[in-house]
Amino acid sequence: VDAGYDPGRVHSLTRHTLESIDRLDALTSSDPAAADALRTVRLTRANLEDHWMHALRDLERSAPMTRWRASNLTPFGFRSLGSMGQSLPDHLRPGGLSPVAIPEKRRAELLGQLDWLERRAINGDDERRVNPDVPVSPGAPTQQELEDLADDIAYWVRRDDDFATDLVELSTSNMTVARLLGVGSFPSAFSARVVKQMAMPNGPDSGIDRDRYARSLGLAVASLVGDPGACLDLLLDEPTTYALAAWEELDSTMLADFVASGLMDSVLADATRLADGFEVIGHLTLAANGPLDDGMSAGMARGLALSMPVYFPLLSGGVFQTGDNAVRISEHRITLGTYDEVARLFGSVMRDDEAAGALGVSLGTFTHDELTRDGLDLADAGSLTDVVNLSVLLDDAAQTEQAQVVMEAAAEEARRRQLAGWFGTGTNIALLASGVGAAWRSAASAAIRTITDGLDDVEPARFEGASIAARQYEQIWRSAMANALERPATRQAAQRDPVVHAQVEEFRRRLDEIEACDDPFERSVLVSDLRTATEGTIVDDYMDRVVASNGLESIR
Amino acid sequence: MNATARANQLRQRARHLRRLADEIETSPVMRLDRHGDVDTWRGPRPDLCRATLAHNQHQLHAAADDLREHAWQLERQAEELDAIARSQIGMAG
Repeated sequence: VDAGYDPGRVHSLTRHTLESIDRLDALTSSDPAAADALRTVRLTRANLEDHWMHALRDLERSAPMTRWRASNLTPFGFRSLGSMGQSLPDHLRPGGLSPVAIPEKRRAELLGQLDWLERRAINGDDERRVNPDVPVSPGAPTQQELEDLADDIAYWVRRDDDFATDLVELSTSNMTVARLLGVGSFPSAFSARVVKQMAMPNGPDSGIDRDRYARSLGLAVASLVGDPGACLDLLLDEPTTYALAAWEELDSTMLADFVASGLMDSVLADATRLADGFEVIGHLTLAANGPLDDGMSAGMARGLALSMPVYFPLLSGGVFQTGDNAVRISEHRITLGTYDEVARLFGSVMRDDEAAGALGVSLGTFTHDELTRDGLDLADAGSLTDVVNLSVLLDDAAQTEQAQVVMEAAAEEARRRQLAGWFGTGTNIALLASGVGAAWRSAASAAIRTITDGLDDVEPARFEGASIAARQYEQIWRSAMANALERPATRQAAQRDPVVHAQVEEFRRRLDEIEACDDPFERSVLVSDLRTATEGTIVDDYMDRVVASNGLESIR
Repeated sequence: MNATARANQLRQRARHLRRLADEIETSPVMRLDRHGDVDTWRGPRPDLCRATLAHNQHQLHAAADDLREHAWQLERQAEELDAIARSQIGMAG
């Protein structure tokens, strides 16, 4: 990526941006004819604050800019992205620590301790194999020993790049390196290098204990979760993402948290990273249509599926035609793949029940946001095209009835737990409070677990013919029916004609009954009955227009 | 309010809308792209900032055009009111 900046010009740009914001603030008018124009002015002002000033403040805080301001130097040309990276907080040398080479004796001492703890850990694991009832093997390193060594090693990692590099290389043969990341305070850049070094498709093929290796890699991955930007940076590294997606033995919870932190939390904290997230999804689409066509690791699938509320708004807008036609995110000039390839990506994700449930919840959230969009008129042509197209895509992606059942049931459970509405319409997501992603995922995961845990108890007939698209149709139809009953034309007709009045009251009562119904099977019967009852009545014409305008028949 | 007073009020609104349109189109944000070009910063994030700005500038130009269109319509209404006022005076005379 070609990236860089000129400190002098960036400083000047910041001043001009602030001046622009101030001048836009000053534009006012009480004339109603100016309302639209002022709305555009406010939107522009908000974008300058959210995008421009956010990015410029990050740059202004960087060490090169601080040094430039302190030195009063004239512009000295572009700095590389690497030099920007070095200046970021929590990078290799945060807090202005100057680089110092570790004394040779100290280096040997720390590496010796690392080797000693690793040997004891291996022996401890061996002892536990013999006697699995012992909770902690007597020979294994204690938590205090690990924390003490992590503190000492982290100190030198921040100051000596060569020592850090040696440890990164050692991490594939000494699993304690990765274990230390979970107990010490290491720079994210170092942890990311360890993950990159350790991540290999299907695990190591040397004589190393694969289970221990997978556990250590899981700990290294988990140590990055608190730094969403670093998680996304690492996911952008194609070989690493592929390796994490390919190795099924990796701890699924740790990996899902890492993936969702990178794909969702980083974008919620900084909306400009949405394009990077789509790039990762593009890499996974390629992999799902090649080496991962048999499915991907559960953690990768779940993390990806749980992050979808952030991506569905733009992704759905990129779905136009089926088959070989491209799914394109025009806003970021990114092509994810063809329709069939993207469908195969989601098909691969749905092989895992929990991930299928997460897709159902994400789709339910997105649909709710679209149906409650300001100014939406369902009878307008194409007002819900994105929802319909995405529903068709996920319906096509589901290769098994079980995936459909789980998606539909999870979406239903999410509705019951009122999980929709957390992300608005996907606009200005940078304004959302940090932590909303983790909170939503926690609530969504609880809903999904309820479904997957009880999957064996579901009577097959209950979800027979289950289809996420049909469920979407039902949800849209109910919303349209509620609109139809509140339209001025309907109200006026009801006031004029007692027969129409009685019909409308009856429809309202039945719609309330449907909304209160928690049983999806029973509810679909009630919807079907009400649909029949409305034929030829005052709402029929409007409902026909909603169905025709949005191509709803394609998902019925 | 008689027709002439109403026409004057409409002309005043039209002048205000035109002035607002001018203020929008001459505001510093319409020239911000010159300061934030690739010589200043480059990379995915600056690209996104520039794309957003270009979109907003386009919207602001369109908003200014709409304001002028409104102003034109208000002036037409004012002329019609003037014509009504003149005919009322003629009838009274």
